[in-house]
Amino acid sequence: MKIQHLLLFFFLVSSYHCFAQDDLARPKFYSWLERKAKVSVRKSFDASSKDEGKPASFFWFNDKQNNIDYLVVDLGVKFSEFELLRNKKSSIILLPKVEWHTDKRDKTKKNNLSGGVNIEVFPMKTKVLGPWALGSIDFEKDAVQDVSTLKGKFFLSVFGIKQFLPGYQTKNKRKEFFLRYYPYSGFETFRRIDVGNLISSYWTNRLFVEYWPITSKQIMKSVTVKGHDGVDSTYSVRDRDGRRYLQITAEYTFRKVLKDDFYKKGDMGWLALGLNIYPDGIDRLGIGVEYNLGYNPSFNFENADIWSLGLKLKL
Amino acid sequence: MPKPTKAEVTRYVLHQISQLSGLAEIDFLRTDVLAKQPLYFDSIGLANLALTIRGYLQQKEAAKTLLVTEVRKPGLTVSGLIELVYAKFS
Repeated sequence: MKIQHLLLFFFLVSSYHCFAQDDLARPKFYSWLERKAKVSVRKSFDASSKDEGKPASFFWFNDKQNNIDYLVVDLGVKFSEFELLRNKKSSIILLPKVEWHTDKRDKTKKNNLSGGVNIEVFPMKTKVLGPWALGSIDFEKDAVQDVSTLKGKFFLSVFGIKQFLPGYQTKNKRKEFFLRYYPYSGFETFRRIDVGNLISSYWTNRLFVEYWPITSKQIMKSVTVKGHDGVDSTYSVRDRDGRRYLQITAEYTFRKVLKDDFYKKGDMGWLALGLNIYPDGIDRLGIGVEYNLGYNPSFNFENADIWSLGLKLKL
Repeated sequence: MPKPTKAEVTRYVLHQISQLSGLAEIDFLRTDVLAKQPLYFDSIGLANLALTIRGYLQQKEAAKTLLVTEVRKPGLTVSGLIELVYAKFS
């Protein structure tokens, strides 16, 4: 890699400081994006908890000596949510989204653009452990293989509010959040709509784990001030913010085939391991490496064995 | 049913945040964002918090309901949630 590419890399890395400040110091555009445009950015919103914590990734490489130039992008954008059952004890949320997954490397070439709606169903408030469900309907265009697919998915999951239960922000002895996981079980169907009526459908089971092994504890202290009436009041203030520097994500999906006219690959497994470093302890922008093995769901289930390295962005 | 006071609403909301986050009330501030440190509610946790408070509003016969999408609003703080819930009674 030439020196200018290293400079570009360090420029990109150093520039994240303008994104990664605390809320009070964030640039106006970022606040506009979050609060006014109501846009969220992740690696994917593909029928999973939208806050699973996997950031969008961008990686660009250019080697003029060897004439190698490639771009890898995994980007999902979610727009404003719409809610049904507003006066009931349950709730249904609809989330429009678009996703772009491209990889210009020869061996793993892909260019998929998709759009659709995610659905989240919360049947009741959870007291200890309760169910919730999610699904999606998407149209996807694969520009490399010229394939148009209609995808439907529905999963059941559980959410708990005790240590080590699914979905709970499990804390260590210093009260720092370090672990969260979600199991899913459900049904997926993929219908090729540009040629004939080819369908593949699966019973799909999935586990996602997010682990933060390196954290720093927030420090709280009490401050006593004298009021106008001469009476002392005591407040809690934060002397130092907590920080999280290293994120490890692991995801395993197993698809048990039910019908296989379309992909014709039988049962399929998919492993995704990620390691992200956030130098200033705010999990917004950092550097990450990811390893994927198995049948790639964002690339027509082609068999893949991929390492990738890049900037990680989560808004 | 009489409208609860701001102090009652505040106590209820702080208690629910404490219960659902696993942090004592002295471990988070009114200025803390629900989805960020140290509370770290994710979208599913925020939905559960919203449904819990919605039940309280129905029990107290509040004039308006609380939406999951309101509680998931990016940047919503503890004090912002207290104000939001209290406003449902007017």
